[in-house]
Parts: sequence; C-alpha cells; structure tokens
Amino acid sequence: MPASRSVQRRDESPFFGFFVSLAFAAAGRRCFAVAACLVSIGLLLKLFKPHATSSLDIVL
Amino acid sequence: MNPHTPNTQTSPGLLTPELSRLLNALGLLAVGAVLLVAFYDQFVGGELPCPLCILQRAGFVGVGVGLALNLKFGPRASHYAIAMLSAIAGGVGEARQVLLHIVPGTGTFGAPFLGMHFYSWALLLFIVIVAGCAVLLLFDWQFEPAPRVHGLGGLALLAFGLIALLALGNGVSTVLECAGGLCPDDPAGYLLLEGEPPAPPPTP
Repeated sequence: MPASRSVQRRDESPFFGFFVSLAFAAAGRRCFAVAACLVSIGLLLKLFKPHATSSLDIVL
Repeated sequence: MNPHTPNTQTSPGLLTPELSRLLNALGLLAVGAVLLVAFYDQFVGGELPCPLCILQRAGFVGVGVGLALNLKFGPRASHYAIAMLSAIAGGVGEARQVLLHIVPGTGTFGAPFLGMHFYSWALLLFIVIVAGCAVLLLFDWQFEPAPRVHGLGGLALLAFGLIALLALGNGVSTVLECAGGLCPDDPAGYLLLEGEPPAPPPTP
C-alpha cells in the first residue's frame, strides 16, 4: 500500500472521534455529539476494508 | 392533544425516563467492564490487540457513546440507533474474524476466555446489544416530549466518565501500538515506543 494512503488511515481515529462526541455531550451540544459519533462509525467501517483479511497474516 | 405525545397525566408505563436512564447507566458500565477486561488482557496478559480486535473495541466505545447520550439528554430513539449502528459496525469486523478462524487449520488469535475466544464473545455481545436496544425501543413512555440536558451525578457520572476515559485510553494505546497509522496484521510490540521490528531474514 502506498505510504500516502496509510498515513491517511489511522486506526485510532474512531476512538478520538467518539471521545470528541462525549466531550460535546458533556458540554450539552447534542447535535455536534451525534454528528461526531456518526462520523466515527463511518471511520470504523472505512477501516474495516484494509483489515478485512489481516487475520490471515497472523503467525499462529 | 397530539396522539403521539406521551400523556404525563396518566400511568407513566412500565419504563419511565428515570428507569430508562438507570438501565442505560448499568448498560454503559457493562460496556465499560468489557473494555476493561480487554485492557487487562492487553497490559497484564501481554496480548496486543490485533487490528480487527481494535475495531471491535471501537464498536464497543460507540455503543457506549449511544448509551451515554441517553444519560445526558434523556432516552431518544436516535441514541439507541447510534448504539445499534456501532454494534453492527463492530459486529461486521468480528463476524469476519470468526469466519476467518472457523476454517479448520487456520488457528486462533489469543487465549480463550470461558471457553470462547474474545472475538467470538464480542460477536455474541454485539448481537445481544442490538437485541437489547431493540427491546428497549419498544417502550414508548421512556421518551420525553423534548430533549433536555440532564445533570450527571452518581452512577450516571461514573458510567459517563468511565466510557470517556476508556475511549481516550484506547485511542492513546492504539497510537502507541500502531504509531499513528494502520496497525500491523500481527502486532509484536508498541511501534511508537520500540520502533519498527527488524525485517525477517530472507528465506532461501
């Protein structure tokens, strides 16, 4: 995979997205919290594609 | 009166907004417990999460966010939808991992826990979460006419704080393990702390 593409995808991004969503919720901003959460779910699904076969490369 | 507006003058029904928020707090604590077990296995058991396991954790955090929104803003169908969508997103990865390992001779990842591997438990829990949210959605009386911001205290504050800490903790842990990129298929250490592992010697 080209290095430029691997830089764009970060496995930690959904966690930070969900954390931002919780921060918006704590601040009482429901719409922003829901939006951040939906973006994070989208990121989670996007990250599934490059990892769909990762278990096949595990040394067992 | 709008027939779709709950009538607060009559019986409040089986599941009141307060009881619903309590159940959501307990569910959030249960999700937090799942993530704590995963952390325990990582830091005490020494088993680094595989890439699909990380996505599974993210799915659980997303479920927790949906439940946390119910705590803060009161029960809403959209919050349950977020929890269910997160469980489905996490479950897709777990179903894939179970199917990869179900083939005879492909081995497993990690040690079993109570007879099943973590990814099998995760798939089962995601199914339970989707079913549980669907059951909770059956009780219309829990939904308040308009969203309101609740103050968090006691159990709700504990559950909300726990899931926020776990979201941040998992993010930091993943940065350390994957050095801010895509995680390696077979993680051997924390890339950000230890650097890239040496390349395997060429096979003759």
